[in-house]
Amino acid sequence: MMRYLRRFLRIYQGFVVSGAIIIFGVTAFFLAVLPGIKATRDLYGNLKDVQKEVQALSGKFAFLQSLSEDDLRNRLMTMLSAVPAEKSIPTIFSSADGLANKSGVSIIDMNLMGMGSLATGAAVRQSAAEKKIGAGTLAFTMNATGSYDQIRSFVSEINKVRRLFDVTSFDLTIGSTGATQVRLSLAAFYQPIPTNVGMVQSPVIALTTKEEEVFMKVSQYPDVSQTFLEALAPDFSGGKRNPFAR
Amino acid sequence: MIAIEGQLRTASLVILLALFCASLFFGAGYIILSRQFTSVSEKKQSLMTAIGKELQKEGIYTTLKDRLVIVGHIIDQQHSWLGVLDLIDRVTATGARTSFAVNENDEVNLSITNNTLEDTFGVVDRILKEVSAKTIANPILESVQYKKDGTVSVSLTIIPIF
Repeated sequence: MMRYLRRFLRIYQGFVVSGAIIIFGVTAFFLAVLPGIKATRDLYGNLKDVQKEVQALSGKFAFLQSLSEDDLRNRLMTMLSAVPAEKSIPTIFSSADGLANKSGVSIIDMNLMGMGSLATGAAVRQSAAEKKIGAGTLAFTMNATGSYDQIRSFVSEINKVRRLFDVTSFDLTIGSTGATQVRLSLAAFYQPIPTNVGMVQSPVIALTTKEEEVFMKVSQYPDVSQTFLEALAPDFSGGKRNPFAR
Repeated sequence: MIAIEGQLRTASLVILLALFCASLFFGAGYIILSRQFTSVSEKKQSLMTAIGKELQKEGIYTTLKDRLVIVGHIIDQQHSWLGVLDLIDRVTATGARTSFAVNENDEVNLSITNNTLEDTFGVVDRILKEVSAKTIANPILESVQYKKDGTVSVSLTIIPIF
């Protein structure tokens, strides 16, 4: 047997060596080179992805660095006085009272309906209208009396105070002496502060022109509530992505 | 036989050479890309750490932006009631206003008491002018009551166009 094998190898030595090299080459191509090409291609794809992420993160970092924390804090305080984080019932009363003083009307009564939790009410399911706005609403009614011009001033100004209200309906009665009484159905708004800011990779989008206009408009509204909101105390503790954790 | 053997040898050498070149090319490419990947990953990590340090600022900014969107929606929803009051003043110019009510659908129910029938016609004329000026839509005369003392009470429903 060995003799036949040696004889075969001696006669076909050239074929055997070349054949072995070809078989080795083909095997190596499929087992090593092809997976290597695939790994290189995958690595190239991953590199491109990470480069895009780095570009986005660089942009985000540069954007965050361009912002002044004090300015942001002041702006947020202004917006929180318009739509507080909690129901903030005292500011509803004080805003209505401040506006009444400004217009010269007398508030006969105010009635807050379905107040529920006195805190954020974060667990309460929002209605379709609230979802559309993106904030919780607190409905209340108010009866006020004064001269027609005073009531007119009161009704026209109620949408233009810092604590935002929306008049859902109202009825106005003018007495024979000119004394006017108005009954207003209003909604005040509140929205809890978010407890997280999303992933580090999440993009930060600059304020739009409309948002800047909204801020300018609200900042020009008088704050007739005469109250002070608790200063925000963001607390970054050990990687927890909750800047407002207490 | 010798010719076939020669061709086979050439083919095997070509395959071996191609294999070597491919391995060299992709191997070098892999090493270069791998180094770049490590460098970019380190940069990404350092940026993530730096952004993490700006967390408070990011949180305040995100909250501010969210709130601006909410406030924008609220402002869009609010109506200028002064315009409606002006409109009612124009319509009831000579009439003695008694009452009016605005409901959730922004429909204004207006009750006017006039001293004469001519004053009532004047109110209707002014409403029609406002309709032509597209400041009022769908005016409906709900009721007209002519009283013994000569006064006329009119109840109207109008929809102001904001």
